[in-house]
Amino acid sequence: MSSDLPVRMQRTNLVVADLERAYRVYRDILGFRLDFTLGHRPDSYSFVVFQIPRGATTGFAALSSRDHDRSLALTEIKGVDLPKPNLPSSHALVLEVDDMDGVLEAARAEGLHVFPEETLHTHDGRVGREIGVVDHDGHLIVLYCILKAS
Amino acid sequence: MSSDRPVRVQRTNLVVADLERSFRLYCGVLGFDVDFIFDERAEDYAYTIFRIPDEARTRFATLSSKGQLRSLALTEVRGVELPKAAAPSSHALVLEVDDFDAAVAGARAEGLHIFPEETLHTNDGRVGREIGMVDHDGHLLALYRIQQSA
Repeated sequence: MSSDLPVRMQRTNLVVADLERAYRVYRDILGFRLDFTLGHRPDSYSFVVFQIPRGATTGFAALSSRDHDRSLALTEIKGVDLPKPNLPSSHALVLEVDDMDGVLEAARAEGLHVFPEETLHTHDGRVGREIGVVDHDGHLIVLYCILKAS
Repeated sequence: MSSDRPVRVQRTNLVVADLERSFRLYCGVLGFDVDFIFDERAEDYAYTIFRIPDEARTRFATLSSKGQLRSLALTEVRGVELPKAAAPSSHALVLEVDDFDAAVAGARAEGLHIFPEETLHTNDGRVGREIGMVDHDGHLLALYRIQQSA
């Protein structure tokens, strides 16, 4: 483990059009814990750095995963049209899940686009399952689980 | 800490146009450590889920941060034009850095777009510095450094 490096990844922040809809995916299906939420704050720095039009209203949620508090944030933007996701996808969130089949079944029931599953062969010799899913806002999620250690 | 969660964030994967240019930022300026690099092929799963055209050439690198193995990946896509990032930004990486001034100076020297700095007030009462910047490929980064505990 590289404890001497000068940078630490705190979280990825995803822009979404509807927090409640995103909770169904990230909290209810994937299992993140919702830590706290913030309502619309017109003086938030998010307006500056995300380049959010002033006419928009925003919300914010921080979520935690295994061994990492507030590893994911969701920034809701309402009242303006959000750009359509680009192709190729510009980014992906890679998540290890305990119950792959349960997650996939729920993702399909939620109406998410689920790519065909693939066998995962990691760089260090582990074998598992991996599958790409696109959330309601076009963010690519790559789910995996390890079945065989190296 | 949420050790009982059924989901773990492994990494965020960013698509970039030039891996060496990204290494200058993520390693040279921010301090990530490259773990491994390999060439990908059109039959690799990344082409399917990122929806990368078959004619593109890709390479993949994983990077580690403080106490976090392979917390960031960069997927280089060459030979096709990548779409321009539109506003508002769709996602951001939130990074804690040890040497805030050096990171910002390095980013300026690299020619990145840097937003005005802001005082950070966290939800749990800590105070620090934060600043947004956009990398060469349009990915929003938010750097922060805590200066005062709650």
